[in-house]
Amino acid sequence: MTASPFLEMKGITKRFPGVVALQEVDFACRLGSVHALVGENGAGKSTLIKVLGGVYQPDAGEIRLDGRAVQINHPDRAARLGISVIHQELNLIPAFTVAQNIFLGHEPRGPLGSVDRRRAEEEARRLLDLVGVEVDPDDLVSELSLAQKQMVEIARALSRDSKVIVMDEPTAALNGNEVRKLLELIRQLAQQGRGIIFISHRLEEVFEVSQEITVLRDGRVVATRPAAECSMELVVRLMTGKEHATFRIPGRRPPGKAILELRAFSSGRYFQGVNLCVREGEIVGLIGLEGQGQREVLRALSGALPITGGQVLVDGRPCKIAAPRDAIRSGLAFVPEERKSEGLCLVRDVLENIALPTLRERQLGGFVRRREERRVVRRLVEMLRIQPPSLAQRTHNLSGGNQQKVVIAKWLAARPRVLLFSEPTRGVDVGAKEEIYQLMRQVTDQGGGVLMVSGDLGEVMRLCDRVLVMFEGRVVKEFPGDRLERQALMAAQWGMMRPREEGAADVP
Amino acid sequence: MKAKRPAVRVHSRGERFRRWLRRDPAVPIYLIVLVTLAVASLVAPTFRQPVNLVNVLVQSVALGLAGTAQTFAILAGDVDLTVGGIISLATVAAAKAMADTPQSMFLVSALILLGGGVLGLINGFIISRVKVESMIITLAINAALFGVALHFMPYPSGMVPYRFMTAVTGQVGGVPLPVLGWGIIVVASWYVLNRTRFGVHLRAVGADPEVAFRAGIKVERVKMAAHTATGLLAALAGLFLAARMGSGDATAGGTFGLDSMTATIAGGANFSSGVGNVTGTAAGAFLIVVLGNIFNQMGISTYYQTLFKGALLVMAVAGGAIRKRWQEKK
Repeated sequence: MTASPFLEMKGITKRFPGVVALQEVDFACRLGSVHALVGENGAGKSTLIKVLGGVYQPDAGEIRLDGRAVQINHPDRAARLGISVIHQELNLIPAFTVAQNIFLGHEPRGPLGSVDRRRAEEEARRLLDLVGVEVDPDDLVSELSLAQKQMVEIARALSRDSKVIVMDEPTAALNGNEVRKLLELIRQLAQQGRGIIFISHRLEEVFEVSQEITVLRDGRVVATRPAAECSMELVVRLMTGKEHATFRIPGRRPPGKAILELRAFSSGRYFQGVNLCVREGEIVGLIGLEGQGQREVLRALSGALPITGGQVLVDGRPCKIAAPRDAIRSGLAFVPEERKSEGLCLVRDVLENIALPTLRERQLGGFVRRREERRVVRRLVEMLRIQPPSLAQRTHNLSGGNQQKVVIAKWLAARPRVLLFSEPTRGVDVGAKEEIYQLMRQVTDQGGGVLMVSGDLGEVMRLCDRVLVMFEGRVVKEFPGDRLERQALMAAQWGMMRPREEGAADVP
Repeated sequence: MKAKRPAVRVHSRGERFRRWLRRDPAVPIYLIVLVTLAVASLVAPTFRQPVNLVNVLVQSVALGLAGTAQTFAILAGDVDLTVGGIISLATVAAAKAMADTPQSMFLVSALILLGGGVLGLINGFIISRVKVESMIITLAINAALFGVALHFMPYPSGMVPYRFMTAVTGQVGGVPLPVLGWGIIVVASWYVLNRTRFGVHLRAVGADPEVAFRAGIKVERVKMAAHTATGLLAALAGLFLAARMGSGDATAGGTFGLDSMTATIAGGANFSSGVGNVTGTAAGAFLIVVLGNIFNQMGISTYYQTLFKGALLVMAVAGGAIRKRWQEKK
């Protein structure tokens, strides 16, 4: 190994209104090796990557490439310096072809300012083969599956032939086989003398490919160590700053009567014939691989997707849910995973956001009773310990955890019978996570129910009193809360992928 | 075992045709134009006379050029309502400044085109750098441009040199020059928007500026260039209109802002997906003019024509939205 790394970031600081996202972060990447960047949601990984990729400008600090200080003031600059970034969110244009997307911004040049489409197509085909995805360069991206889109993004990062390739959660949408292929590819790329910066929530993957690990927590570097000297437990401890909590959070009351019942519940091609029941005091988990219909069940219940069949009963009474207002009236409240776009009005303050769904309750002849409103909202802000405890703060400026609390608060104000959570703690820091779990329990302990969808099995195992597994739009398995094991849950999610083998196993 | 893909997938002609049918957003407008022409020819024998058809084509040129101009702005994710104001100003400038010498004709024409480009550049600068909503800012600037045009020419007047008129509106081998010029502009614009890197970047910026930015595209620069093209082509439309009218008119551009938008949207272009092309816009412009022609022959008042154009825009916008939703559902 050379004495000084190819890429060095020193003292990087980045502030956003109300939050310090990065504080004097030092990070380095050597050519020929894979450097993993890990941390809880909101630790600052993506922000650091965006600084490196020229999407954000740091407020302080310097970046050195090959010993020279460089200013990366535009993504194009990063690309020219040999840095490719796969950002966490998808960065493709749906109406463009695969080849157009791969070469967007650096199309092969033909005569008269044209794009050399033949070369783009050939080159794209080679890259797609390299990442091992079966799509045609001429397919439209809008026609691809999520996993295929992800692979196209990876092909795009390789298309620049960069020295440093950054992958922010590249495996999020991939299945086991695809992940294995990708990790192999990453190893090859490193062997070719590139530096890879790899970000993943799945620590197994991190340990499999990386030589070095840097742990971020709350915008600071906690440790940078060779992977060989780390254990998974150590990394988890560094990430969370405490012994990783794995204990269950049980309810205090035995399940009572059913509050939410679904009978043969269906929505078009998303899911069909779903039967489930949430009882008083219960948290029910709905899990599955990405795209098996579990999220859509919640969306349909919230009135955001048309219901095409079946029955919904709340407290034994059938409900018609055609729009969100029907769901709210029936006592169902939905906390979506896209809280910034679907849960909050970001430019408005905490007070208005929390008060919005229940305005009707505090009106007098069409006017809002402001004093009453402040009283109600302040009580909720205090109860949920929203930080800062100011009603006038724009929700845009809050951290992920506090934004989530605001969303929960506005629905608690409506006193729902059942809270529907989609990814209750995505993008929420550790401390706030625990608080949100406690809140969910508080709801059930007071006789309410919770139906949650989560891709985080750890959280499912800690919270749920019952877990239903969905596959291809149907509920295929149910686990009682005292029999939740990661392996079994994973197997149930995946197991249905091989119906023939299972069928064979039935034969004695 | 997964099937092994052939090294190069060859698309048969039929396959390519089906894909074009599926992907080209202008297909509906082509069909609508064809059906309209067929029905009109059957119902009104005078309509299908070659003289009338050529006449309709020539009538379509001004709107066709304005629509091409608008397509650049719309594919870049904006809208440019100054198209009308620039057309008005161009006719006024041509009628006031052009003298009956070849030098003057060239110089004034060039200056008018340059002026249109500069106005477009200013639009683009304000939209991309100051970051204001294009609809609002161009509406405001358009009002100002009309004001300027009216200041210089309160009522239609002036004279465009006769030689300029005949030169612009003449024929080459039976093909009217304006139609030929329009065709060249459409083909050139199609090439720029569909085949060049700039065109790909422009449509990427229109589809998703953030994605374009992260791909290393200079979003502001692309937007400014797009609006410059819009301004330039709008000035060209104005210049042509001046030659056709033989004089200047500060209100000549009045309806072009909205009509150019109608032509573009009816032609299949979409505000925020980077989808659309100038051939669709040309068909859209042609449709508007053809229907006007038919209405005239049927003796229907222009009031109703305005009503109809409004309805067409509503249908085109709604149709585009429905089509998009339908495609997403699929």
